[in-house]
Amino acid sequence: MKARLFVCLSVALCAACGNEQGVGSRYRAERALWHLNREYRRLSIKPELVESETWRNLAQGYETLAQGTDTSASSAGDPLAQDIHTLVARALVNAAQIHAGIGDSTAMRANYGRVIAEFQDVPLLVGEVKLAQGRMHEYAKLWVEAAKAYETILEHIEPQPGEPGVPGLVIEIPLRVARLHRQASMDAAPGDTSAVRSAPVQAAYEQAEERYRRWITAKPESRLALESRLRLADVAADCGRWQVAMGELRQIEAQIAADRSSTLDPGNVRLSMAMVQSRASAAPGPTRDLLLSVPRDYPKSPAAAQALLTLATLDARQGAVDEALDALDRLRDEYAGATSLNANGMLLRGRLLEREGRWPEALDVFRSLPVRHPLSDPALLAPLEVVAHYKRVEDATETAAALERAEREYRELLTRYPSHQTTLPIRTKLAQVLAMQHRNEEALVELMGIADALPGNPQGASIMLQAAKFAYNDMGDRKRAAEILGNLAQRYPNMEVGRWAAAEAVRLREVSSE
Amino acid sequence: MNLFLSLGVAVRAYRSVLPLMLRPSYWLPFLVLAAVQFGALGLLVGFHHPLLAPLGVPLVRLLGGEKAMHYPALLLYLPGMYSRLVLVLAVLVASVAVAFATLYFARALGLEAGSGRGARVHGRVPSLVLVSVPPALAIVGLSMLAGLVPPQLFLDSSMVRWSVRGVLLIAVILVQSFVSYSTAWVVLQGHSALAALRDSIRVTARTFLPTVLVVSFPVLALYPISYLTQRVDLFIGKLEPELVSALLAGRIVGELFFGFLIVGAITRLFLWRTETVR
Repeated sequence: MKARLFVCLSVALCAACGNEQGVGSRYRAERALWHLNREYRRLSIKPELVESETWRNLAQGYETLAQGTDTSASSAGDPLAQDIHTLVARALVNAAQIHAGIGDSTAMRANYGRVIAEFQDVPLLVGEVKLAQGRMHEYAKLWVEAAKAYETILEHIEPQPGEPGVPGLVIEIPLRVARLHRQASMDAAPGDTSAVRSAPVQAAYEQAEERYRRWITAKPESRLALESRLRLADVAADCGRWQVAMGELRQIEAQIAADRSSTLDPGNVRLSMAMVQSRASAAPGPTRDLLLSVPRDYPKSPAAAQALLTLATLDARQGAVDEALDALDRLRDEYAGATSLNANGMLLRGRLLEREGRWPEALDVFRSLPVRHPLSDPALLAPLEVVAHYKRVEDATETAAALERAEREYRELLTRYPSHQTTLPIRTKLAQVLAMQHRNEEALVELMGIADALPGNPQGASIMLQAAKFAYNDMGDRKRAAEILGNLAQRYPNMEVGRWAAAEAVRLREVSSE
Repeated sequence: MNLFLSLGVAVRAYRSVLPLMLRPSYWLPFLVLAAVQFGALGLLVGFHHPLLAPLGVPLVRLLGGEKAMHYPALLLYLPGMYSRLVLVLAVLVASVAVAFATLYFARALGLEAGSGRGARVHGRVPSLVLVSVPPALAIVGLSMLAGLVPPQLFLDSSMVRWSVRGVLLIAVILVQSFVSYSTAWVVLQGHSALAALRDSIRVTARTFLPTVLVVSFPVLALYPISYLTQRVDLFIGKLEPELVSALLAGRIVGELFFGFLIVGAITRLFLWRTETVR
């Protein structure tokens, strides 16, 4: 009797054990992932200060977690198995993202590939991988492949506009896919304007429209429907159906205005209407009216400041200088808080005044821009605008003086704002100024300094490539170019540019020795 | 009895226990109890280990639910789960361990030797278990009462927060004070559970201030750890989640020392008071 009881208990315990081991396995994976994620967040605060070896170790930590977790501890299909698969897939995606960050495309592809091959039951992460793959294809200008990758996401994930991550981005995908097909068609027949209306492109836009209409029908009163309608307007505008696009946007604006709880900005919708109008008709009048209506009807909308800058740009393009300057005055006076737009506004003002032959006023604007909006992109461009003017009027003395002044200003900025993130664009501009002064050696040193400050970062590889081109084209120094390319190949052996640089360095060395 | 006199009595009670701290044999019941508590904590923290999982997983599921079986949620729920488990241990293990300790202390502090060390505990285990149930239930009840305060009010007002904590602390000290002599009544006088509880309340009432002072000292000394176990969210959000288990381990060690002192001091007070009671 006792023996039977013992056997029964043992069997029950063993039956329970499988599931309990699965719980334990999930817990251990969660713990390891939590600690790795915390380290990832910590390193991501100032990623540029982190050695690529540290990143590699972190990626290895994720891979070890994925390798060491028993994904067969519980029966497939149950929530526990799903949890463990999600954890492992997340670890692989994070590892892939780190590899992508340090330019190791081989390891990145391997990890993404594993997620696609083994974890189709984790749609969110499959979607994340497909999104990353789509972006990579776009970067490589493989438009159709990118479209295919994005389309797969639609099969896995429902759109949830406003949500973080992939579900929040799904709403963009049908339109993005159609636009990628259009781009592919344009690339296939350069110069052929009818390519944008080719059959595959039309089919892609029709599919996008159908999908958006389906989402609207499924949840007519939801944010999904509103956002789908916004994209429908884009689809119509892309296809040249301006009236349809405007009609959709009017409907959306009315809907948002009627719904006080809506988080969408009606000012933005009005701005979109102006953009559609501007594409629809060459006459600037209706577009101007719409742009002016944004700050009038929605003065508190962030789109109001953007509308004034767009209006100024439009007027400047039409040669209506006074109107453009009026719009810029309004932008400066009424939306002083929109610093980035105001910086761009000042740059536009300076260029406009320079074009109109009002150089002293333009110079004043270019000089005050770095003071009012230091570190903004327009502020960094302003000294070079001054140089460009004196070059245009062929005043060698003033050009040299402007270059010296630009160099001094950039160096002062570097002293005043030594933080790593701000120094990189300044140093790039400084290298440009040095090159313009024909101080090639110093320019090259500056470029290499920037590349050294971005270890393991693809941006660093791009700067090194720029330096090699500079050595080759501007300095005529093939040996130096080969040396830089060789260095690039050593630093980025797993990046395509690294492999290309290795081959190119060999070729250049051979050419130089001949 | 006025406060100063009571303070003097409490200090004398503690002082009489101090020399016993240097004699290892008196630590035995407390070490056994601490070992059991460490075992319980280890089982909860290590429930995921392949060797512990068959026992740990059902236990964690029972005490904390499905959500407690995730990381770092386990550590967030750990103090609560551990407290529930300790209540059970208090009834089943601590009651017996304290009984042995009371017996040893009583003999060391002047009680005549009886018929062997285990004789007065053996056979009285049911009564010892029963006398430890009411304080355990009272502590559960008090925690549930604290749960009646609207959570938003608790979060918004620091005055409400500290008032609730203060009232709870005083209530716990009072409950422990009134039942503190019950083990001694069972072990040393052979009372039944009910009689022991009744007489414990009577002795406490007559020795109110010294008893409350003796009981409050360890409770207050351990309060910082108790407070920190209520703020485990800070450990998880800002520090190392694993510190929560270290904190609970610290509490066990603290309870080991203070348990020694409080049981010794209460036994001393009991011996002093029962002479007058008789």
